[in-house]
Amino acid sequence: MFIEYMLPILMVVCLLLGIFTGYPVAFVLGGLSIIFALIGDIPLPYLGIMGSRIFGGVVENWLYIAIPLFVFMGLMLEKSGVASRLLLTLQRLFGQVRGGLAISVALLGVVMAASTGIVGASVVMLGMLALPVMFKQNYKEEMALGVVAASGTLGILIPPSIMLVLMGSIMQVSVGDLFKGALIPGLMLGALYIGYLFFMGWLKPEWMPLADPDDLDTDTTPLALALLRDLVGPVFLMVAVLGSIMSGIATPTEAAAIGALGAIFLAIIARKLDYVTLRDVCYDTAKSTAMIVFIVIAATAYSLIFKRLGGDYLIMDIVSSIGLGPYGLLLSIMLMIFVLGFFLEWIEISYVVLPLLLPVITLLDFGMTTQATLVWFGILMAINLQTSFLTPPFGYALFYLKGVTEGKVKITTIYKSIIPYVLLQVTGLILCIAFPAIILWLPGLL
Amino acid sequence: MNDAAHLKVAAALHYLSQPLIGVGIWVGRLTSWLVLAVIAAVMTTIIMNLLGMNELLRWENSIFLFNKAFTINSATELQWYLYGFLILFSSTYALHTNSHVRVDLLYQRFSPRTQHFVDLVGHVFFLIPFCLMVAYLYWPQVVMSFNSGEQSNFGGLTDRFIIKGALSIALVFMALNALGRIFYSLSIVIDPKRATKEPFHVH
Repeated sequence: MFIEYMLPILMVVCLLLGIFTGYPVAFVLGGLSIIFALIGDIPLPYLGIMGSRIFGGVVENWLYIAIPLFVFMGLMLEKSGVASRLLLTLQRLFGQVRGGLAISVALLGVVMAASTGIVGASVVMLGMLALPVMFKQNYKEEMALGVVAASGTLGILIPPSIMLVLMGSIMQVSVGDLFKGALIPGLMLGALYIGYLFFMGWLKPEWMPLADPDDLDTDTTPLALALLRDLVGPVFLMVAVLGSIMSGIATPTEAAAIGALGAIFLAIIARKLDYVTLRDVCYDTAKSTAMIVFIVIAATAYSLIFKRLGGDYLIMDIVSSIGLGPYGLLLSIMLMIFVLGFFLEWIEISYVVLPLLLPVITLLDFGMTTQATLVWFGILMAINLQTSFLTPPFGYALFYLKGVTEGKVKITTIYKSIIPYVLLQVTGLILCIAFPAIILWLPGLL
Repeated sequence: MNDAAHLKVAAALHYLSQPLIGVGIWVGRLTSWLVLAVIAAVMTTIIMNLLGMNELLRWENSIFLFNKAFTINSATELQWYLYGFLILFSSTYALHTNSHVRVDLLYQRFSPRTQHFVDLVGHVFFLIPFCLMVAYLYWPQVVMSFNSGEQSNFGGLTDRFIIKGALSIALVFMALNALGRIFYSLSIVIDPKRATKEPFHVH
């Protein structure tokens, strides 16, 4: 088996070695596709497909127009201060509850979730916004860090999620169905976090001290009015965007454009829209979108060559040699994706690994329609990836969190902070596997 | 004497790198604004759809890209022409701002000189061959599109070669900018003292 599949195996080994040098993952993927095309002596006419695949799959992909628009929406809410004011107001709302600040952060994660959809970006955003406030209020480091990492990564799952847009395109299932499928599990995880924070606030009140009331009263607007001003806007925006996609009134692209325009309006209402903000939002949108799309471009080339060298048969052979029933196989695939999540962002996993697994998954019989199996699997994979990004020692989110704290916090503290959330994630994942209805009820695929 | 020579080489490389990097950033920032145009194009489509309008404008002479009318299909296709230019040319911008994801577990512990060395080797063996190869492989399709006058099947935009050509051209542009970064990184590998004076990337 090893001789037969030497090239595809070598291709994977080179990928892992390459990304550990710290050279950008997208470029490693792209470069390896060319190097292995030469080593594997792939004929030029076949290679010619590469360009058309990239054009057809990435540039000419109607669905992906939604990506820059969703990124724009999230960045606009962040940079115009709408997000930070929302945090302040939520904090006033929960000010006198133990753990109220952490709960506000979790809620902010759920509401803003939406927007950016890239693990790094949302963890960094939430960290910059919330960590200084929590440390100032003498929160125990573990409590502050954990909630930021967990709520920040929840963003890749809770719709409108860029990850689900990409997955929908790869798996050929409706993005609306994926959004519907992810909504309940996403909210369930959010609720689990908040429940945990309530519990800890009761168990260890000294870990999450209440704010000094004097600090909170800087905003003299009555609470009800402040809520109306800061909460209603963003929530209305999210509901409008999600609602229009889920009800099928709008395509994801249309909803994303409305969301982007809505974010501009919210910024205008908050009187925070000036040239510098708009410019920075445009620049950062371009950078984030380019980052995502270039990985997709390079991964398209990589998986094309990987398959041509027999990579898909390699995967099939591995899968059939496991020789387990559908659930056993599902669990092994989940385990594999979990481990991959240590090294790769969801973009590479969705783009390189998911297409290889698709034929296997569609063959599995769980007593539901193929469409339902795909939606169920997609969401399970999403929850799984989110968990993987949180799990020490390699979780992606943890490195970003370390970056935000600028070395003031030890990585071991970050590891400790995240353990409860990883356990909550695993609980959520097991629930979704055991009870597919959690995912499939809303899309009506039962 | 030898010392001075290598410093001069480093200075020359740095000098060479600046226009390449500069133009990459400039073009990237310019195309960044296209996101606003994408929003406008999608909104136009939505509004025309709501109003049941099929045609917004019609004129006498056939013009570039739009032919003789601006229809709802023009607006729809304009969305992805604009999106295409946005993503293709901002990849280069992201290169200069270090926005492409790295697994920096080890990388962040390297000295700036080693970091530049990793990037240098990577650009030479991974990024540039990839960009040039895909650009080269795709070029025949661009030429074919131009010669056949490929256009929308639904009365949308004409001149499809523009967006197809953008793929090849953007990748060549990316390779040129990677060359600029190679010069830049090489200047620091040769003269590590530069690393303290010069930022690794712009913002």
